Amino acid sequence: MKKDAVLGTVMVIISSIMIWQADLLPRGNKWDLLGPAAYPKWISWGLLILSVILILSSLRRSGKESWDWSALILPGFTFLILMGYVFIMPMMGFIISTLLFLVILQALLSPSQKKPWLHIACVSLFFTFALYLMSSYLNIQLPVLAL
Amino acid sequence: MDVFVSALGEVFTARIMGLMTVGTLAGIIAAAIPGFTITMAVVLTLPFTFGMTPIEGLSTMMAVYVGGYSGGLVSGILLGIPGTPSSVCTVFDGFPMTKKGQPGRALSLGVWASFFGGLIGAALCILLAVPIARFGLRFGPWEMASLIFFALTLMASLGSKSITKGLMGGLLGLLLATVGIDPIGGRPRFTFGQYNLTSGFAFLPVLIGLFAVPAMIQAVYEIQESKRKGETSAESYVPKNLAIPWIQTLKEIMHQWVNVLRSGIIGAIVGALPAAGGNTATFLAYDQAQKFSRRSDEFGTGIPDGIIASEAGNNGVAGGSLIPTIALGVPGNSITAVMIGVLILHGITPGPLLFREQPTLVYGLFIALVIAHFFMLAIHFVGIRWFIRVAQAPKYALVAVVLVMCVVGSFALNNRYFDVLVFTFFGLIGYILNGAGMPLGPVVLGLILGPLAESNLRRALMTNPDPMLFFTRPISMTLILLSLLSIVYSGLQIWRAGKRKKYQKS
Repeated sequence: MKKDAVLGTVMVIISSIMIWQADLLPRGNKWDLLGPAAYPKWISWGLLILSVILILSSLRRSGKESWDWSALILPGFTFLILMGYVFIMPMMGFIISTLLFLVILQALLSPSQKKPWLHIACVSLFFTFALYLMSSYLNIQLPVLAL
Repeated sequence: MDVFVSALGEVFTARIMGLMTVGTLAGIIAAAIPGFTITMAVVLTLPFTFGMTPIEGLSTMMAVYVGGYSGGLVSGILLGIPGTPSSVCTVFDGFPMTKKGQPGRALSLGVWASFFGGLIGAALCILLAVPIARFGLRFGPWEMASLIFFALTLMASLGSKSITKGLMGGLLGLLLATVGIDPIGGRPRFTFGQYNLTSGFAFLPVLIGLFAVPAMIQAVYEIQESKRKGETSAESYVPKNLAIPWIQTLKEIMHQWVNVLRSGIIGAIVGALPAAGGNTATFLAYDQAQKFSRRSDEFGTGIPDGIIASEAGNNGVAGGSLIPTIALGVPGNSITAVMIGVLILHGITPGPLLFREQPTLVYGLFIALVIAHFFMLAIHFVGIRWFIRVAQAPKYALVAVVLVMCVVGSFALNNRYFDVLVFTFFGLIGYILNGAGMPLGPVVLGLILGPLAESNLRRALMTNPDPMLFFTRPISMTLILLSLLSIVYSGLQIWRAGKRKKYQKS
């Protein structure tokens, strides 16, 4: 399937949900003609119409688009590790989860033949503690939910 | 004059000078790394300014912004890989000059041109922002709504390869901005029962997600490709003891003052226009320099004229694009859209009223803009030899470190874990939209200007229910006509390009 058609379809779904949700909001009155519903509804209709145009123009175009799924392997793993980091942070705390995240992600992305473990360890330790110290100096809250 | 002196006193403190030094350095380093953009530099450093006073935070961000515009030249000249998209033209002559054995000359020409081009942009910003803001005071809600419509359509149509996708991006941004409390009636909308969504999406986590995650995933994709091909780092022509002839090149720049002035002005003007950014400015400045040069056929072979035009044009944009941002509160591109966010997060609403209500702060911003250029020059003097090492730093470490900074930045705004989840969600959305070829600039512009657009539109109709006023009030009508023209013009351009392609195929 073509990328534009997929994008258009996703946008059709989003705009339809928003139109339905906007319909549940109160209408305007004589003081506020538009009310909370009209503006988001107009925008959603605009998005819906443009999405349909995008789908139609993509279907009219000749030729096939090939999807290189193998190109998504490493980016996909990276995103999964990021999600894992975000979800374990409340349980393990900022410092431990950050150290783990940095080590795992660097190990995954570094050259496969010979892993630069010393470099990975130094970067992870140095960066985590530098961030911790800097945040105290600049008065920034870190997501330190537990150590 | 009193305001200016008081602004000087506020900016010239040891703490602000120190923060600006760090900010400029951060901007230069971020932009020197290929694949990192100025927008990302601004977005990632912004959370570190939350604990500062407005003038401290804004001066620091101004330093990051200025540093970012000049940092791209380092990897462009020494590695042939532009650090930022707006330093592409610098590579045309900078890299050949390096290959000829003159990397120091190319770098110093680039730095001087950035410095002078940036100062020209800053001077134009200071000169023009005040009269434009004064003109902006005449704007009622009709004009403000039309102005936002104009900025959005211009960015969506001229700033994108596909008008449909550009407009869709703008509408998506506007739609995302409607989540949360309705700006007039105070009623929650589209919160889906989520208490955390009552105040809408905090735009910093959204910005970080939309800009940083796709860039990092792209970097991961490049790592994967280089792993597959078994490539190592880019070929370097840089000698170990890099000599930089600063004085000699300053003389060269002085001889080319017309080129510097022309390119700086082009950069500032292009920067002030909505939808046009550093890329357009550098190409235009480079093209004009080639047309006016006696050595036009030598462009692209490593001559100083090309480097000077490109860098002066690129840095002129920094000051130019701040004109509509500060004076009217309407950003012209995604970088200034983020800068508007910076102002809002520090409790300042940009626009014509800012000049009347907080003149000291406005002048403070102008002073910071000028000083940041001197910091940029000084930091390049001292550290330019080291920046190339940063540009060559292993990407696997950079990606991991930047993603942690994204998480910290998202959390730091409201100290809410929910914002970290918002960042992750919008990171995924940004990656998908980017992959599908939807420009992210209009999404961000729509998100930032959305509440302003809605409140002005509704306020206009509350003042007078006649919608025809949008088309009969002269300024509003002109802006609407210009918006429609931009869509038609862009459509024609795309249609012509398609026809040309078909003709070439046949």
